[in-house]
Amino acid sequence: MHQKKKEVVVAVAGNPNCGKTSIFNALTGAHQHVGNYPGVTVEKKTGVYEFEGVLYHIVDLPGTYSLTAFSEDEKVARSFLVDEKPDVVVDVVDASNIERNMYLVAHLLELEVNLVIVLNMWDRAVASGHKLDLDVLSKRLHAPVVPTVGFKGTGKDELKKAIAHAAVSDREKARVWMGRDIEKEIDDMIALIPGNKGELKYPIRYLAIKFLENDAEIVDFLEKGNFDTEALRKQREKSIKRLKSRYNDSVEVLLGDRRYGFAAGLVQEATIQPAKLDRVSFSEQVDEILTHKYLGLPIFMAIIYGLFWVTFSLGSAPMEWIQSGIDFLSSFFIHTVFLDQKTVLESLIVDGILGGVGGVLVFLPNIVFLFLGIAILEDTGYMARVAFIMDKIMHKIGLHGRSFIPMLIGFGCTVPAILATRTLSSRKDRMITIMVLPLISCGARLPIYLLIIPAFFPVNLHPIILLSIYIIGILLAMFISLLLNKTLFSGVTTPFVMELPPYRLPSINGIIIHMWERSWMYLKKAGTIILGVSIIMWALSYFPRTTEFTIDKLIASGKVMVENDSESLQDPADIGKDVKVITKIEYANRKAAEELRNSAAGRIGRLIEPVLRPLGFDWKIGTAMIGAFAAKEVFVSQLGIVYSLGESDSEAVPLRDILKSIYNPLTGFCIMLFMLIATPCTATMAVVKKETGAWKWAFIQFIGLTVLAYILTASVHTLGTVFGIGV
Amino acid sequence: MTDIGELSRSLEDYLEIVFNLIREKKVARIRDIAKKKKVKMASAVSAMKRLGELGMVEYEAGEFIRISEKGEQLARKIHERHQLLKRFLTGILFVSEGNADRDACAMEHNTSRETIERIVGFMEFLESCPFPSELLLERFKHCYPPAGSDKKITMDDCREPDCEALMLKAFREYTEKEKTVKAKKRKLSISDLEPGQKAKILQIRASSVIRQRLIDMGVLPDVEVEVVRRAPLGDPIELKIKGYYLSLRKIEASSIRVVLLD
Repeated sequence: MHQKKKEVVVAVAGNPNCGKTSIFNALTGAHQHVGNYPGVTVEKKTGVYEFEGVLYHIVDLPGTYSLTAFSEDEKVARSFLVDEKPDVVVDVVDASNIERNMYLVAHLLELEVNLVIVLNMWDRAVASGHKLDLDVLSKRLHAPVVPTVGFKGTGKDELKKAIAHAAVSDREKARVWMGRDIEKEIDDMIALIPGNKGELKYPIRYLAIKFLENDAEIVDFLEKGNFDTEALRKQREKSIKRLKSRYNDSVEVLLGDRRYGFAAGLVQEATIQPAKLDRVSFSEQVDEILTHKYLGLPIFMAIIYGLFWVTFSLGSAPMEWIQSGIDFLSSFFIHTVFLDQKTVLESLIVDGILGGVGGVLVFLPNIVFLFLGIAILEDTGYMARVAFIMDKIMHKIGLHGRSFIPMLIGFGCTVPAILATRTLSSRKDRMITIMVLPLISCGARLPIYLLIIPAFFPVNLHPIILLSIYIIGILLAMFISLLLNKTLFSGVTTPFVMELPPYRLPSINGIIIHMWERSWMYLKKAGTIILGVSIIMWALSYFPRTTEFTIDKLIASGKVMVENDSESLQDPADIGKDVKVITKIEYANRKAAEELRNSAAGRIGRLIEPVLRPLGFDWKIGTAMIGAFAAKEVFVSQLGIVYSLGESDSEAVPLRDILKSIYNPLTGFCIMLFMLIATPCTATMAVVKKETGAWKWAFIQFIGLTVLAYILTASVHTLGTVFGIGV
Repeated sequence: MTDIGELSRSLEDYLEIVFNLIREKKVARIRDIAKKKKVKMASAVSAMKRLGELGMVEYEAGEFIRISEKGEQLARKIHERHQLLKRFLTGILFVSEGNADRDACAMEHNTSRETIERIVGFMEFLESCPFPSELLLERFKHCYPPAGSDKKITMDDCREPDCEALMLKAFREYTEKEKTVKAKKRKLSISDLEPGQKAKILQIRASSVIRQRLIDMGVLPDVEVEVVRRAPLGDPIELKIKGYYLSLRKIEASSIRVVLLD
């Protein structure tokens, strides 16, 4: 027995879909925190609980089927076990599928961890008639075995006791017997690994086995550690030859076979009565319908539509409340605090900060509902079916079936879509999906299309033009995805091989915790960035201030008069013949236009105008685009301001008319094309940074998309001009 | 019941000759007996006297020799033994007829009873069941009495009692092996299967990453799988394996060689 520690670190491992999360939740309650493992995009969940005066830190490892070094999840799990050396490792096993879950146990035993086995979903095992001798199981594994029903919390106390006991006990670890021939090879290998090279972080037997399997990380470790790798390699060659001639199979297959043999043998030994297999399980029956050859797709589309609806329709009401709240606060500040005085501070608070906060919060309802929807789909098991149904199409563009949902959400808003890529387990798939998501035309671009299309195109063409923009986006996404697959992210093909877990009733508690944690992470991480950038954008449009307004000079010289003033005159005829009368609003708008023109944004716009010419754009469009960087909808309002129309919306006829008179349809189309491809909004970039863990990717995406947009739009404009289309 | 072992070799010969002569010529005369045995008539006479004393034949001086019932039974046995030995030579070793006849005789005279009995027992064994060669020697061991016992084996002891069951088992194993060999040649993979078909995995021929993933999910040689369905768009495939459901792309499935189970 060890000295009892005051703080114990516990890692929770297990297959995906075994209810590991509910065990984690049951142990930690609300005291959990979601973050990322350093350097990778894998989610890390930690929590604490106290038991009999000792503080237990729990880390929820990613769900894995094994601990080989191919997938990111497994690498992370293994690294944690080896580097952090938790005091106890709790392996959560689905009691209705013990054999396969025991395969992971075989790997854990090789790492010689301090094991506690949890047989979760015990109620289902009992219901199936499967009778197990837990003592036999415990004896064989040299570890306590605790039956639990995770989402009900049954077995929680026994588990805490078992963990506490394991933390101080020092039982000899169980060993997986690989069979005489392989054991001999392992012994030969061990002989070449001296144990006195200081304290190795891996057990020696583990090193031997892994080296035989040609595990990349272990090979690397041994090479860097001054071991006689030449001799080891020779030994491995010998072993492989011997085993191949004896069994005619590779080492991986043989070891896999032995580990599963161990699992099967264990289950058999501990089974008093096997489960009843006669009736077709509930899950199978449901799948008969949901993945039916003909019914499957329509049902799928209905469910997907449901998800979309939950995310955007249900979310729209709260969105309006938030917007009203922001508006209320704005007017409060404008009228009550600042007494209608236009000062820097007032503009900073109202336009900059509140505008920014609004920009962050406005996504929140969508995100919360999206996570709710995704949590339901994941926990019931339907998410795997989504991937199953959609994979054929997704695979054709180099992605995984699971990429479908993020892409779908992208039609509403890119930000939650990127957050939805968490469901992708392969880093490569996730990265590529994130990179191309902005190409899916999101809802924020709609006001732009609704402004431009009616301005330049006849009514009967409206639907086609709109559709063509969406299709171009989709096609580009597919093309870029294939391109990225071959270039930036080329290399290892990620296997699709995926379990279709049995359908389960999700626990409300689990879903809410799931939803809450993720939404809170978004607020914290992305929110701060978005707020920061909003303020910067505000500054760009605000400074430098215009002190002398052209319109004031015109008024002073008598050429222009503001309406209000003219009322003071008795006789309208007193107004001079060449004097133009403008309304108060017009006066304000003209000033705003000049302010924008002289601001940093305006100057930049004018500066890059030569670059924009090949696209058919002028500095005014350029300035509007800079504003659009904060949020796409801003494009329309900025354009309105620059044309002295004040902040107009897409319905505004005057803006359309002006545009029509100044630009041609080709330019209009080019505007839409450019806005489709380029400038992902700030929120998108913030979320990309958060999900990928590095600004690098956000910038690569930004630059890549902008370059792509430029080339494509310039080409379209040039070709159009040459062939006289739309000019 | 008089057994073979009770007569001397010589007398056995005489008895056999008498038996054959009676069969051939209906009568056995001393002259013919002596001729067949290549001895003087006097020797033949004393042999007949001896056989008569043993109750094998009925001998009266000057009369034809008649064979008793006892003698006939014994003679038949001796004859059968001779035939078995001959069959051993011609049927197993493919010795020519003429040599086989002579050698069978010679063996009867010059080989120990034990050896003769073993050979005869062996022939009985072989003729009782068409053994596959692997099973042959294994089962023949049953024919020997346990070491150190005095138990004498008879020809009947060597007959195989469980022939039918053994043959069925051997046949099944044989067809299984043949199927496996054929399947390996035919290169059937999971992607070739239709929903509802069950198969046994033979080999995984995928790249290391995919292969490891498959192994981790329990896809190993000798494991049974059942194809449940194809996705509505045709790909991926859903399998039932080890009590749970696994989906994989057709291209991944095509790297897993199987043999159909029916």
